[in-house]
Amino acid sequence: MRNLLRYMLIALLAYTAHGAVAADDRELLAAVGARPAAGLLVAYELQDVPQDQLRRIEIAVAANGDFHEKQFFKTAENPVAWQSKPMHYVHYSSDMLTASLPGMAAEYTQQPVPNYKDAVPGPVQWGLCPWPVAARLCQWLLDAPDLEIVDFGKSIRASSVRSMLALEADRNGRLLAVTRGDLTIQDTITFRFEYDDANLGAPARMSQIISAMPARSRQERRFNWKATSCAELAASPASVKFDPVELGASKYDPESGDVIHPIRGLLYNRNEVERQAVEASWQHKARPWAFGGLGIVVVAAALYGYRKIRQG
Amino acid sequence: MKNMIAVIFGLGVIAAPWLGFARPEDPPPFPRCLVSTWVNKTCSGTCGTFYTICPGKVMCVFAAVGDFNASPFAPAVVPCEDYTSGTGTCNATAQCTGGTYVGSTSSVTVQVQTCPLTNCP
Repeated sequence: MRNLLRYMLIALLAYTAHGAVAADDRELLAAVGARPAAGLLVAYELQDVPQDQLRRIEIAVAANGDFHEKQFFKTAENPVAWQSKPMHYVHYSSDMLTASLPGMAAEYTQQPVPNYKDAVPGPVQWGLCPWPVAARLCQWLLDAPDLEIVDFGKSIRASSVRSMLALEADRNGRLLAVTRGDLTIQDTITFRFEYDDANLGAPARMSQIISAMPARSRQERRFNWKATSCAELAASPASVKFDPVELGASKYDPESGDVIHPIRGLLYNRNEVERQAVEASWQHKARPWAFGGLGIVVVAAALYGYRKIRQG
Repeated sequence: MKNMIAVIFGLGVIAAPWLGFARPEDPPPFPRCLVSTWVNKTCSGTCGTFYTICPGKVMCVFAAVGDFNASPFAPAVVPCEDYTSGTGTCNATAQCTGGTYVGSTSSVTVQVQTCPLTNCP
């Protein structure tokens, strides 16, 4: 891993020194791409937040770019233990993008997205664990016609507006930050890493800096994460796998609306549930008026009957 | 007079299930989870950079074949979910997908069902 990062840094420095990529440097980069690690599995826990907002991320990224991101929460009822099932997950392998539904991780959608990991700047999940794909990110920058490299002395920053990507690395060959998004208006997310000297190969902390412009009004947020584990993935491609049974998740088909559990089969049709939800909500709102109307009819009938009896 | 009573009785028969006086549903054939889900979701923002997904309603669904719980909805404040990146489209009816969850900065007041605790495995 360190060698990989070192080669990447050397290549970037060479580019900085000569203003163009020399043939030797291209060979060097080719060597970087030729020796990827199998992949990494890193776990982070969110810091500096109230107990009921704690989150844990598990991110696995394979050298071929496949990834699996899971986010776990704690509940107010049990603030000690993490929930057994993730509340958010995204998985990509074999050209299939799998993602949990917002507001309901018990369901997921799955759709073919060919070349999802070949489009610059790559999936955002790579930013959580960029080391297995660092060579690819570096190559994208070297191929960019608008590559800019700034030398800060202790570190360098390579960026390409067109690629919507920027990398920072220190003189020890360690990746310091990955930024992706619109660099011209700073509509970006940055993943910044810190390392403990005692453990050079693994990150110690990660910061997510979100500088977004929803509705043209800037929102900036920073999340500080502590790395709690870092392990190399097994060489098998199946090491980054999606298991709906393990997640207790059912597949939602947007076309038919069917929600299908991997073991129990069809659970229900979401389109039908949504239709019933609209009706149920309407009935709930109309119910007091219906009670009132019915009451008026009953009272009117009673008065009418009473009057008839008295007249009779 | 008889006609009037017949009309009232008829109205009552028609309206009773709708007003909640129907026979209780048969218990499920096996323990089932009730889980909350968002329906009629909306997406705002830009897919690919930053977007927010909010529910239009929150309701309970069984994690098995069967009717959903038709208990009353009540207005409640529900936090929306913020994401970055992702793919697809983001508008009033379509949601971007594949982004990474980055917390919540907004909320909506929507009709919400409270799912009772069941024998959820």
